Amino acid sequence: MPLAPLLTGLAVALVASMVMAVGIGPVAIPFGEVWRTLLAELAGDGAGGPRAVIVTQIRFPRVLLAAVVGAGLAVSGVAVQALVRNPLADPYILGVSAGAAFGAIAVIVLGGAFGSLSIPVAAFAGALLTFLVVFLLARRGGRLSPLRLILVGVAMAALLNAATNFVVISSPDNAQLRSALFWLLGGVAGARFSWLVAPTLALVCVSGYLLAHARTLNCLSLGDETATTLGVDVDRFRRALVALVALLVGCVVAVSGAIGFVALMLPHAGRLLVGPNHRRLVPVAGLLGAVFLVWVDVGARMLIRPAELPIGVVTAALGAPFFLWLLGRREARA
Amino acid sequence: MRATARSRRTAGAFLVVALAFVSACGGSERGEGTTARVAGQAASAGEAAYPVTVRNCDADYTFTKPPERVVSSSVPATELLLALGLERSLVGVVGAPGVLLPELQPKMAGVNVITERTFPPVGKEAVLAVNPDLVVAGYGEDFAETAVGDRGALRAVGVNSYLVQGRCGDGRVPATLDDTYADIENLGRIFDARPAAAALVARLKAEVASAPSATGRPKVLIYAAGKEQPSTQGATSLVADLVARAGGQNVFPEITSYGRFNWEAAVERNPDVILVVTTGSFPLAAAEEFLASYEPIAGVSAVRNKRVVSVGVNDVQPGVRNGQALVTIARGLVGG
Amino acid sequence: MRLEVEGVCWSAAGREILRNVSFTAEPGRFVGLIGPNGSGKTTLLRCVYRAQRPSAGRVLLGGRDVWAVPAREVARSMAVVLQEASCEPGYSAWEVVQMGRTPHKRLTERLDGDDDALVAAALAEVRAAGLADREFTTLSGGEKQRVLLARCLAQQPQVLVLDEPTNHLDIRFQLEALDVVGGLGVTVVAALHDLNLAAAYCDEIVVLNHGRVAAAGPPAELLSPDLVARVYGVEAEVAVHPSTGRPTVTYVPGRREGAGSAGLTV
Repeated sequence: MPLAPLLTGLAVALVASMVMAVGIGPVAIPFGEVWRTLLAELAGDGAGGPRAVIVTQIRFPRVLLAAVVGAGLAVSGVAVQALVRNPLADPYILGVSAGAAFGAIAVIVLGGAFGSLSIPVAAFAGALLTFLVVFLLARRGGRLSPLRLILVGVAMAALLNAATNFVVISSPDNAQLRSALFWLLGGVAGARFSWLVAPTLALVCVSGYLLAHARTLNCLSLGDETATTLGVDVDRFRRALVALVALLVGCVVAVSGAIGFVALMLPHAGRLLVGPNHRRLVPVAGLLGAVFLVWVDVGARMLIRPAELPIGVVTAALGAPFFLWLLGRREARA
Repeated sequence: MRATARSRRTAGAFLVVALAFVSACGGSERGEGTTARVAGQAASAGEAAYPVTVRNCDADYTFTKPPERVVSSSVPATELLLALGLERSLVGVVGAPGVLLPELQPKMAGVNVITERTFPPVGKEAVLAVNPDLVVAGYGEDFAETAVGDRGALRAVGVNSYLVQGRCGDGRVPATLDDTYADIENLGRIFDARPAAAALVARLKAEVASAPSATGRPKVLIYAAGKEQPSTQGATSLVADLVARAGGQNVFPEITSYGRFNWEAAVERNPDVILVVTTGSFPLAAAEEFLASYEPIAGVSAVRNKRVVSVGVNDVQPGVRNGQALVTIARGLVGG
Repeated sequence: MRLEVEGVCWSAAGREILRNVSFTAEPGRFVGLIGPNGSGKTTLLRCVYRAQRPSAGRVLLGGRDVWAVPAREVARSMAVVLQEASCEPGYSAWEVVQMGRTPHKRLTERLDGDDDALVAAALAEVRAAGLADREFTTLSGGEKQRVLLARCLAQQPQVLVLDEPTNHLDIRFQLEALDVVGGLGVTVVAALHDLNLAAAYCDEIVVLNHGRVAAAGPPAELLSPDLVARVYGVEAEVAVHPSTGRPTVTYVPGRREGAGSAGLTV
């Protein structure tokens, strides 16, 4: 399928999804009214009222964040799979999300009286520190081998998960325990506009970098040796990739928790559509991820309304069967 | 003179028997006050105290004598036992004396504290180490395998158990104030402390009766934790029952057990009062600060009129605090 | 372009793999690197194509030390065909060949018609034009090697390095590949397993043994039963090929009771 029409089609699908998703929520508001209200409020001459608040301040940022988080996770999944040359990898193997989780849980359980920004900030700080440790430990003789990176990342993730679980168990009461567990399962409910800034910037920067270096990413798939013969400074590129993926994942997990399977699934969905060439895969996977998470989030707020289902549950329910299918397909081929 | 000696012996024997009779009656009495003592004698005269069979969480538990070595695995359970004057039978409690109601704290003098940590629930070894014959629990989780252990397994080693009725269903069955009364009565029968139990129930009912009645069925949001991603206690929880009895209307009746809700639904339903269930890590100050700063809810009636009421999470666990909790909630609903 | 290897040494884990290896590949010449397994051929080539740094000595490409220039610049002049053809599934043969253009494109430069023409020409040169749309991982061993060779051609190198690229291929593809390579007119340095192929195609051969250069020179001068016995430890006879005039090596199988002198021509 030629790229331009596909990208246009996906972009249109994304915009349409977001438009529809803003109209869907536990409070039933007619679709026309949703958009009249939203546009009026955005233009500045809205009448206000609870429905305007619902649409503009609760649903609109939430749908935007779902799209950004979905795209961010999918793009970082593509990057990590190229980085470690393993199609079964997801960005959490770098240990960065475990660091973010630890930061967030520490604030939730230990410091509940802080301001509302402290969870994302603490989560990002956790992600950043973990990245630095993993990066320094994974280098050996100045080189960064994919295997060593995975091993160090997995070990750090295990350590941080243990620490996080310990803090969770130290919850002084059941309510706090549940808050912590809900955060770990991830979600974009209650999104504030301010939460959009960092992930969007990171998404734009990292996607831009990956697109510009699409050829280099392609060459990596031929193996380190061959990539070197094609003039790629494999080690330097890997270092840059690790840093960028960590940045993007850190920003995303800081505001939405560790949502599972998107980063693993969507790159493969992209490959099924357009193949592994990163010039096509990066934008397609990103758009697919955005559309996917927008709709998954609709499910999270509608399936047991007015209660909220953790988004990680919905993605996992879809993701696990997909993963098993993918495994079977890979084994059938090999 | 032989008649005098014989009559003295008979009188002495009679005295001994009478004393034994009186002391036996007095011994079965652990209540406070003389009225209770008299009532106790009347009760023991009327029916046999043991064996007692109590129906608890769809199972029967039989007691052949008053438990003498009681472990309380939760603070609400401790408070129930202390309020019934049963402190002398306690061989172990969970929770520091300082977290109990002030008027009950003096009764903790000399009582063994197994551990001060109330969460996660205490483990099997620590409890069995004090050789109990009864474990009284305030939460269903106390009988999980990783905690004290399954009640059937406890019974097999000769340890009886009791769980406050309101927590038997653990969210599936609504918990009400009547469950708390039933708990008190059950404990009264188990310990042969019926008068004390009746007095405690009467006291609670008096507190409940003293609560003002709200008019107009104000809408209440039960806000249990969380900020942008908030949680509510659920329609089957005791606090929901208290809200209903205080004349309020839970805005989320369809959320049956503890769960997260969507602020947009809260905005739409526009509660008149927000009832914050505070915990150590979610104090009132934090809740109020968030409610004041979160723009999407600024237009909600309860936020605009600053009608925020709070109860502690322990106050709305089945136990002796429920009466006062209801009064607090009712006052908050009226205070509009 | 001339390729010079000067006094290259390389050690690993305390063992010396290469000791003071030196040779020169003059522009346009086909230099064959031969020697038994473990003699250091692959290690030497890795030093040549800048995959690892020699512990002593240097490699000069067109007079410049390969480590003094960025990898991309080296890749514009030197292309490599390796033994193993690993690739992620999903890339077509065309896309694999297209990757050969990478060193010549700046970051934001897009592939254009000229690049496509080069890719097409490269595929045609190795007679793999019909494979262009096939998925690379589904190709046979011989087809893969041809596509990889095409990728190198698309790279427009002036020096071509081959590390035993034909071992596992049918004889037809082995000869075809070497025909193509030899006919390009670029400098070639190839590690070859087969003495007869080396004799047939190379202008010069460099014999490696235990990490040292045992001998270097034109095949006709160098190949002798003595050399074969010394380096490979087997008995052989060297004759002149009736059509090409190049040396041919015939191995003598191990002595057996009543065995004749019939040998095996490989």
